[in-house]
Amino acid sequence: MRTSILAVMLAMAGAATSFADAVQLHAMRILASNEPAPLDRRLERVDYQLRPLFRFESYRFLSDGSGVINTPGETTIALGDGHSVRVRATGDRGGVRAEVQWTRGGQTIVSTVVNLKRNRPAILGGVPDGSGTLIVTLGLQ
Amino acid sequence: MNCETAEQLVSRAMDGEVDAAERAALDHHLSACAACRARAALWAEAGRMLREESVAAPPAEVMWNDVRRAIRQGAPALRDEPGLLWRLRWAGASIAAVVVLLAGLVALRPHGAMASAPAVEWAETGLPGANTMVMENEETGAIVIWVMTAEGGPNGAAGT
Repeated sequence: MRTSILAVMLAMAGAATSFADAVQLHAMRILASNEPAPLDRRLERVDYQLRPLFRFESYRFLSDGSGVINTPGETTIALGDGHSVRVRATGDRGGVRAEVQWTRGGQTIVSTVVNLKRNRPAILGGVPDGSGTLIVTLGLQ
Repeated sequence: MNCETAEQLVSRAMDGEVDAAERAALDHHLSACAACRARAALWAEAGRMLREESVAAPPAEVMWNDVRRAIRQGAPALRDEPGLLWRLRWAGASIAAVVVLLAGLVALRPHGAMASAPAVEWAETGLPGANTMVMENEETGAIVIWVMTAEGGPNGAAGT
């Protein structure tokens, strides 16, 4: 009985892990404000997501970064000025369950668990920064 | 008056529960008993410190963050009890087998369970006095986790 249970467990675990996949994450740090700013091509992939959501006049690209995770796994994406996004991801097959921690200089700004998909990025923001508001987008590539 | 009675009267006096006669008797005892006088002074000082060191309740959003964090981190683990562990051994193995079986079935499905997973399981901010607002835009599919700060500007989420 014990042997058969162990065999089933090993077989199913093997089947589950055989689907482990590498996912590439892309994060971007953006400053939203009401000050005029020229369109930045680097924001193309997120601009259409931001415009319907917020009432800001402009979005300014600050920095971006990418990381690859072999799920389950973890990566940290540095976004400059002390900002970083640590992602611990599990799951696959078109979606990633991601434990996300956005920090600035060691202080946690946002901790969350989101289920990301290729067309479902996470947009974290709301932190006042000078004349604007900081936004960090995190999505699958 | 003995010291035991005096101690009770000191306690009641701090709560304003002694009459004039009891107050006079207590004062008479304290004038003659250095030990009770010292004890009364100590109690009076402790009461003063408690009144002055009162701590204001934290903002509701901070308390709510703490509650969510405590729930997420879960209750303390069971203490090791050999008998209990022995009884649970087979039950645990069976449950583990079922869990692994279900995990395997989920992994083998042509379309994963992520389709039904909530977009956001939880979100919180570490910024003092701030809270988070979560929403999902059905039009774009984007997940928004917005930090609501007291100094937040005029702009923000436009809603979905």
